[in-house]
Amino acid sequence: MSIPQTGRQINYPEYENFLDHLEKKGGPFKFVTAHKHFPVGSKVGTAPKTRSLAEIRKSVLESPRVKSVISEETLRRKCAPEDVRKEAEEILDEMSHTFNLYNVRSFGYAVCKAMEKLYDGIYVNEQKLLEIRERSKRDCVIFMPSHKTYFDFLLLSLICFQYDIQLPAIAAGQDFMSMKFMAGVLRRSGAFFMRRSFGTDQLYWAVFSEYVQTHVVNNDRTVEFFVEATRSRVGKSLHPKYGMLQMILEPYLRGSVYDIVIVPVSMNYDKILEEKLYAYELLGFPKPKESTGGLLKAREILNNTHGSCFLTFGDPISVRDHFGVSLHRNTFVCQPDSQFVLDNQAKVEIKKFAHHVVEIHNKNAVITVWSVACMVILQTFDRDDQATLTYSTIYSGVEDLITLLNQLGTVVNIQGNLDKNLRYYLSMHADLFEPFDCTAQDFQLKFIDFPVAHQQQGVPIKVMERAVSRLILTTYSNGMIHAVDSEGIICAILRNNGVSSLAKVREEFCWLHNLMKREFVTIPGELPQLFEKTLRILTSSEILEVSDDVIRILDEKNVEILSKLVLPYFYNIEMAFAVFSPMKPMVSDLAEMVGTVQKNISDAYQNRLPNTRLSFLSTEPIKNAFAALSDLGIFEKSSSGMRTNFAKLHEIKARLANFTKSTISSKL
Amino acid sequence: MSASYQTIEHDVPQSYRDKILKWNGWGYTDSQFTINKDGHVTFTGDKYDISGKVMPHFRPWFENYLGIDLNYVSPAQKLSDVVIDAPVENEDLIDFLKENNISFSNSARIRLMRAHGHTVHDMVNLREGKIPRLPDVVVWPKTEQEIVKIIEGAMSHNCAIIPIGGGTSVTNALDTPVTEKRAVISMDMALLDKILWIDRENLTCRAEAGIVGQSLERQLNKKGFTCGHEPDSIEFSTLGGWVSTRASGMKKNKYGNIEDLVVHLNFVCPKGIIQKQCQVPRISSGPDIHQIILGSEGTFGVVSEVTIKIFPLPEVKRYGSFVFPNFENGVNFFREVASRRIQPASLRLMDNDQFVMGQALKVASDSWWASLKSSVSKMYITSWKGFKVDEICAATCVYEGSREEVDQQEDRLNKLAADFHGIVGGEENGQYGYRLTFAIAYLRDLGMNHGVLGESFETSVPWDKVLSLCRNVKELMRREAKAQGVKHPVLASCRVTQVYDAGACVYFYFGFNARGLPNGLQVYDRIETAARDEIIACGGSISHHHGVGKIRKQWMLTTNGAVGIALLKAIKSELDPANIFANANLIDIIGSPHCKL
Repeated sequence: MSIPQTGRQINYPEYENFLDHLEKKGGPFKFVTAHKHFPVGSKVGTAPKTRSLAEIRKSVLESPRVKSVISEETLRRKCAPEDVRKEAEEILDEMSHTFNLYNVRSFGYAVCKAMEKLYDGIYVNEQKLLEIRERSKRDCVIFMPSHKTYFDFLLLSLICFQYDIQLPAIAAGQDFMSMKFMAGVLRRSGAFFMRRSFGTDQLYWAVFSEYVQTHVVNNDRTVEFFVEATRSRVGKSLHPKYGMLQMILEPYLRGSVYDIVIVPVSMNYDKILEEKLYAYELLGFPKPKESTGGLLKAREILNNTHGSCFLTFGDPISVRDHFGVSLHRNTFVCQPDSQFVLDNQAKVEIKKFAHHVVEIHNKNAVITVWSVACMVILQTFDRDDQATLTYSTIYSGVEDLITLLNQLGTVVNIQGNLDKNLRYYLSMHADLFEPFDCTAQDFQLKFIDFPVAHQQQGVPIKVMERAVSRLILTTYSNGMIHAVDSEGIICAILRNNGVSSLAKVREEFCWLHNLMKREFVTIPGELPQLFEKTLRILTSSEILEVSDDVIRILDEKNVEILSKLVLPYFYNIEMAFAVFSPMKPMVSDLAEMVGTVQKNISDAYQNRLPNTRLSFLSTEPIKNAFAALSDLGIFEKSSSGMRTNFAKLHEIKARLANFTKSTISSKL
Repeated sequence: MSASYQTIEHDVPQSYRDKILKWNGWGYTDSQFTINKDGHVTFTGDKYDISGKVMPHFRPWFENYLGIDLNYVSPAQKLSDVVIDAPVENEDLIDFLKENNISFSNSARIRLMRAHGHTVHDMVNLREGKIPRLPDVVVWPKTEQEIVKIIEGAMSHNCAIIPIGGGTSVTNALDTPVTEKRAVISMDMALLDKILWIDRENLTCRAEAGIVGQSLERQLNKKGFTCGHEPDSIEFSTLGGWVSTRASGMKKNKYGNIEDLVVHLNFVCPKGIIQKQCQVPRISSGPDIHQIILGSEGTFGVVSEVTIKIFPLPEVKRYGSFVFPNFENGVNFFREVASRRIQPASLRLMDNDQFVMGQALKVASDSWWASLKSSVSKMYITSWKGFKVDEICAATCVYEGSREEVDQQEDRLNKLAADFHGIVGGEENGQYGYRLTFAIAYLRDLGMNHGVLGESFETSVPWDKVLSLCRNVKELMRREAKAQGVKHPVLASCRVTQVYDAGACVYFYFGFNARGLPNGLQVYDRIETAARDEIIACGGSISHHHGVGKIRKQWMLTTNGAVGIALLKAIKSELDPANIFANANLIDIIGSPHCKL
């Protein structure tokens, strides 16, 4: 049986370069003004029809659900129905897009121009797009892209325009609305805005879900939303959110549409526009409010190439086929359509599906040479933080790691030859280093310090300044971790835990993955299957062998390499766990603890304790670690804050130390 | 027909079933669609309005909509070529019947005529000469006492009984289970066909269960009454059959469904006779025992006599019709009619496919649509009103009552239709729509002659789910047909045939050209099963009035739940512990030979 392949190699004709198309068409102006044949989506059973914005608006306000909530609210608030209706209209106006093709064309012109300047190539797997175009005539297509940058939705819309696919209505976060000018442009390009949280606001909930669902039911256009809800600042997938997906699938579950087609889209970039912003933000420096001014300043960025972007459209998934067996719609039919509630089983299945989509994002993601190089550089710093980097050592490290990845069935995208490709990436990311001569046979690389504005509590400015580039490196190295996370965990268990029985290793594997579910996204409830799959990969690549339910190591060296790829993630959370001390049993707010963890990490780093990376200062893994403890029930809420259950915490720490121990000399 | 056994019979009645009905198709032997020498579709016989008329628009429709080649024929096997197996012998039973002077016969043709209903399976089997397990002997009770006697005989001589009324079942309810090893008696109710009395004071009528609908109605009409129950099968189906399947009539808005019409009944089961002591309009005496009998589909016993409500014949009966720009508008109109409770006696909505088909079936002289083609009214509908030919749909209705009532009803409906962009289509088109109902049943036989497999099935559904259910089920039939390898366009059409306060009854018509498929019937089955799954997933029911029989048993558990099924089983084991009424409809009884457990 063949090993499922992770990663993509960018080759013509599977991947077409959009920028070549653009050039062939005679440039951005010709492109945006070209005559278009967007298929008019049809609601099954009626003739294809384009609805006007007013019709969409009317269908929301006249929907049984909104009408019913308006009546309820009128009674609850003891006010006139017109007042509630007016509020509903205001909510609707606040969220609605004002899609208009003329605006798209003119905005598209600017975007095309920028793309041309920014990128050397924009690669898309064209066949899938043609397939999607056909499907979109019959059923509503939902794009679920991975989310790493604001460029994701600009690019996706551009590609849809290129392939005559109805431009998506995009679910965007309301934080965009503070960008006055941009918000208007985005609205007209088809973005609609949702509040980050609207908890129990029944009216908002009703209007918003009707608004989303009217697009799905009438198949006016394609719909796009991000299952990770927000941009991942860390270069790897975020734990998915479920609300929007539930909302989108609901019309299928209550039979309002025949089918819905989900298209996972993996969007990968050689260089992320926001890389430095992310690094600062993750270190805890306040996030600059999205403002149009900020984006315009970004214009200086336009003068440097950002390499290529890769859009890999996954196989369209028919929701009907996917949920055909697991979700029985007939369990919902006793509810009126206007008061639809999902049962727990349905919620579980939908959650699983969200994780499944993230898994596809990863499987189809392009792993770049740069991502591998960053991993190699970080490992070099693990050995000696003051190490001098030379091109030749990085090159040989990258070459070795790629060989191992290939052995595991993972494809690393190499354009041309490795040497050329690695030099290309180094010069693209030259802003991270002190000047170097990329054409020399061999050369040294030294990271520059990025200025930080002010001191964080307890962490010296120097340390923070050095940390910025380390965080950027980590973001890129994270781009390949999904290919080795499970493999690394198994290898580290075998090396460190001193167990080799299949059952024991599986048990530990599941526990660790569950602990790390925010770091490495897996499908809930399917960890045993993941274990079997990973073990198959490791045995068929002759790194391990299994006989009589005992796992044996065949290839010591690669087992060590693989475990060292994942262990830092565990060291990171271990340091976060260490912040809870019996001396101070009450925690008022977990967010406050993040600073303390950062200080501890900074101290450990300055004292040159082993297994400490500067990138651990990132607030993301620390928050993830706290969330993992909450999930495991470590904190008991009380009136004066949260009480830490140290017995339980100790158990978790001991079990984790058992896994990380052999390399932590201080604990021996 | 060849049978290699000796016929034994006694006092066999001359029955319409054996004389004037087709043995392998719908309805009267002399009535059928054929292709005349000019290549046009025509209808034979003299029993219907369209008899002897030519339908020039039908052939093109048939060819285009179903991809039919009329030169290709898939002829049915001749009756003379059919081989009938010998019945299961049970001399004791035969002696018992003779002793008690009960009419019976085991003649091959008589058994064959009572062995099936009218599902596509039944018809394909007969046409292809695949004869299923037949009942072994047919008996004709002449009185309720004889029914009791026959059940006694069956109990003491180890036999099973399957009652038969009109034989119009479309649920395989009449099929003899293949696993049944006992001699099976087909209890033909044809001789219990008399009206016992008419009570003008209380407006009720008591009749024997075997009376055929049209006969009952004709006799009542003569005396100035109507029973108001008018299922599409009224020409052949019986009063007892209506009760045991929970039948519904098209004019139920005015008169009610069978459960609303029944005032009293006698039910003979192996434990004895169930019969209430009084004939009252309503009673509070614990759960209504009638409700156990209504829809029991011959699994507990047999209905022998029924008292039903009757009504004075209405002064005026008038047809009406409307044209709507699309199905959605039509459904919304129906919903509004129901919520205002202004439904006329009958109200039906056809979708576009059926509207077009209906127009294609019009006879040469009065094809409204055809004559519209160049006329001002067509211009009015398509150009001025903006109706699209491929979306337009039509509603038909029947008004019954006093002239004043009918005028008022008609006026109200016409006004309301305008709110939904409906246009009044006139009385003639309304009447045509109902006439077509009777003819349409014959259409499948014509299709089958040319390789088409088709069936209609129905459901009931709450109002908020009507549109999505119709849309999804039709879409499923189309997509599933394609996935199953059907090469030609399929007919996937529906109509709303009843309105209720809380929902509607929807009928689906499904047909496809099975030519070129290795096993068309299997493909048909898969699609119908998938369609019923979809109906249920979209909030529809297992059946509105056709019933469950054997064809829909697989959905009984989902429909009624485990406790509900256990209750039905308990009733069965109480009333019929030896499983004499062994047609195996509705549920499987543990311990009976057809149970898979």
